[in-house]
Amino acid sequence: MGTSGFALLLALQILLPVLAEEGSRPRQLIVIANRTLAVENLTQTTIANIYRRKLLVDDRGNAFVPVNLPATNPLRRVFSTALLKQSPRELETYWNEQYYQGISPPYVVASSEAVIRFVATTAGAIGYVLDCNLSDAVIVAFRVQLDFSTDQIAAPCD
Amino acid sequence: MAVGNRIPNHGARRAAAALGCALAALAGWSAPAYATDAAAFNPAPEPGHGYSLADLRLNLGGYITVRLKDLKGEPVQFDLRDINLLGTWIPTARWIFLAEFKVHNPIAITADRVSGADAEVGLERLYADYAVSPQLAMRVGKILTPIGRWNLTHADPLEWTVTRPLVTVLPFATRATGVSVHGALAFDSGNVLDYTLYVDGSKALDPLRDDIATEDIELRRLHNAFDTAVGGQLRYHFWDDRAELGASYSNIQVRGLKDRSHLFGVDGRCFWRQVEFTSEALIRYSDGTRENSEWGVFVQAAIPLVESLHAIVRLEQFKGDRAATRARLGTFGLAYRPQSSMVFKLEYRLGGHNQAVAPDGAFASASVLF
Repeated sequence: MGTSGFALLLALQILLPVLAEEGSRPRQLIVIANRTLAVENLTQTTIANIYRRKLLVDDRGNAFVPVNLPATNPLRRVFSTALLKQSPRELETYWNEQYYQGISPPYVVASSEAVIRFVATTAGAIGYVLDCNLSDAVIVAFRVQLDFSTDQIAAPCD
Repeated sequence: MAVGNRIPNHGARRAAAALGCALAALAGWSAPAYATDAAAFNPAPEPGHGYSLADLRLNLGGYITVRLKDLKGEPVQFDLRDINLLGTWIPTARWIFLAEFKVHNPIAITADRVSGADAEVGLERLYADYAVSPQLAMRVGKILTPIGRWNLTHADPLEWTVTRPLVTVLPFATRATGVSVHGALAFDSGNVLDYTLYVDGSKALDPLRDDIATEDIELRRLHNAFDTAVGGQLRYHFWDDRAELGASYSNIQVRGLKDRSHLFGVDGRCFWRQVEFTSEALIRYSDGTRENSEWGVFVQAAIPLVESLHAIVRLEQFKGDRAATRARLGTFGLAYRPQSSMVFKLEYRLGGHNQAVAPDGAFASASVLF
């Protein structure tokens, strides 16, 4: 084995444990809700229908207020695929048709920090963040385990 | 949707962001709604879905279409086909008010004249919607008649073709005025059943209603305006909402006809390998006579060719006994969607026994949903 081969082995010996630790670290997408919501009733199907605006009010007549990250955000793509079963791009046709029926898509904010701030201060609000961004200001409604081999989140924690 | 009573008030910054979003949408520019760091924490509408006045809980938008048509035996015409303005007001969580105004053909240009003589201004929809429960809402006012699928999504930017299948417009009034209840029932599987029941009293509530012809013809003996109607529609969404099936029934009293009519319709849409298939079939017949029966069907495929460019193929057949309303048609075209809210279309329609209702010809259009 030459010098270059030895250097490669050394580099792998140093890097592999780091990569393995990062790859195996549990990371979840957390659906968060304002404290006014009864989260025990929020199943995956219910959350999907809130985000599709099929469900506009709860049993007491209070509005559900879902909030999204921008369509280009990797976490939105993961959320959309996992819970709504379609990518943001696939849903564009759906939202154009809903808009014509008077139903607009969820509001958009720029970052996970903004999602938490919005959900914490807005009655009936519901959003999603990574577990590393979770805050005590909101309550957890639902957890989605992420698969790093398929969920492409470039900057997972901001 | 403006749910402003539950959105923190950030005043001018949000208004500025909303205005920027609206202008961007009108310009066909799909930049993010949050254009500045200062606006980054403010909730904003998804781009391309109207201009939101969140403090007033009001959303304003619409669509516009320009068109070129070259029908056999007629001069080539360029027209501003539609300007539709759509406003929604959501004062509380349970209430939604919607109004849609339409200006049709305000300007038509041919080789020898510029005219506004065919201009029509009208109220497409005007209703109040009250959410009785999560699964039930009541609607009062002028609505799109819940028959088939095309009629409910007929805005030009939402469709793949310039022309509309005959079966989606000739046998029934495309708008009804009265009361309806509607809602969505979700199943654990994720599938959803939408339902609508309606009672129409157009004769008393909308005396200005008129028979609706296709845009290219005026069949004087053709009647499809409702005096009264009662009916409903079921629509089942499945395969992660990549497929849906609809069924419609209406019992109608058509203006000018002696007997009441039954109208049955089925429709479907399915996405398979990025190809969108749609179809509708409908039959209408009267209690007392077969004289006024009509039926029709169409199937359509939108096939992706390259990014944003689709080939469109539609075959249809329509048969009516009242007038010269029987035709077999084929429509073949291209649709280019640089954004989901903007579409450029080019198509050619040809057929048999179709000169009276849908003559052979070429069409092109550009439409923007804003």
